[in-house]
Amino acid sequence: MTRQEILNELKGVVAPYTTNKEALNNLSDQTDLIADLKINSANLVDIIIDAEARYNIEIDYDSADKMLNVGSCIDVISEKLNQK
Amino acid sequence: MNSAGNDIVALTAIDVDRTRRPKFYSRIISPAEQEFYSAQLSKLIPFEHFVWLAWSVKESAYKFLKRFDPELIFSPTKMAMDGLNFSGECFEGTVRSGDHVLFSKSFIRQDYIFSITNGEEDLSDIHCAIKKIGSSKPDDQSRAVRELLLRKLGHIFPESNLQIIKNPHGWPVIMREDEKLPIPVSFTHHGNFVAYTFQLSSASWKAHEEIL
Repeated sequence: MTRQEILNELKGVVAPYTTNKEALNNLSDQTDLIADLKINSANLVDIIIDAEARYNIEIDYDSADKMLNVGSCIDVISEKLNQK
Repeated sequence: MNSAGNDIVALTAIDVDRTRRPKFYSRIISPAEQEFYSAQLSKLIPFEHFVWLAWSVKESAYKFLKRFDPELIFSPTKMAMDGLNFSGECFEGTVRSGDHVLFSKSFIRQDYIFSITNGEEDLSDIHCAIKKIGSSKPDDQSRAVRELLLRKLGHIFPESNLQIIKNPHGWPVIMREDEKLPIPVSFTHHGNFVAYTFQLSSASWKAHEEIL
């Protein structure tokens, strides 16, 4: 998958946890999950688990810790997809 | 260490079934903490409450420590709760993160779990308040928790023009005119609940009263 394809899928992963539709429609690598998308930190584990299911990958704990903005999410997902 | 850390979890906003799945809770609590729950707490609180209690303790400790290390990353399974005692009213314990040991106090109520942490065992200088509001929108939560804190601070610093700003790292700073007040404060919100915590010793409180 290209970074753009991963990004398009990622929109669907984070959508249930944000009410900031404007930020969701304008995702960039710099978009912060908490500061920009206003996702409650209590939902971060949900996003990891939903991403694992969506991309059929396993995200180890160290990698999950890095998934704080869209760019780092795409980096981790891309890395895990390449390891399959 | 002069800092503040808190966290609230709205129990109406959690997914109980998901919380009980190993895939989920193993990202929050360690095998040792699972064993501790089974041996010590399983007759007191349901497992999902323990998982979110651990989350709130660790998140509040993370917020407390992040002031000293802005690059700190929240990694719940790398933090360890050492024991947790139920006093009849609240849960008290310690939480380790790297070389740091913090003291925690948590309250489990019908609708929420709320935790605070501090670098010292004595939590008497910690002031906090929790409010249920009519909205769960982030902007409404943010506005409500600031109003709640300013109302409280208005009693401590009467006739002062106080404002709350965010510093570049994202945590709140209390300003009196152009002066940053040395009062660490932490905000938290989830679902319909908002809460603040700040640390202010009675000695410094008196000093400020004298200045005023």
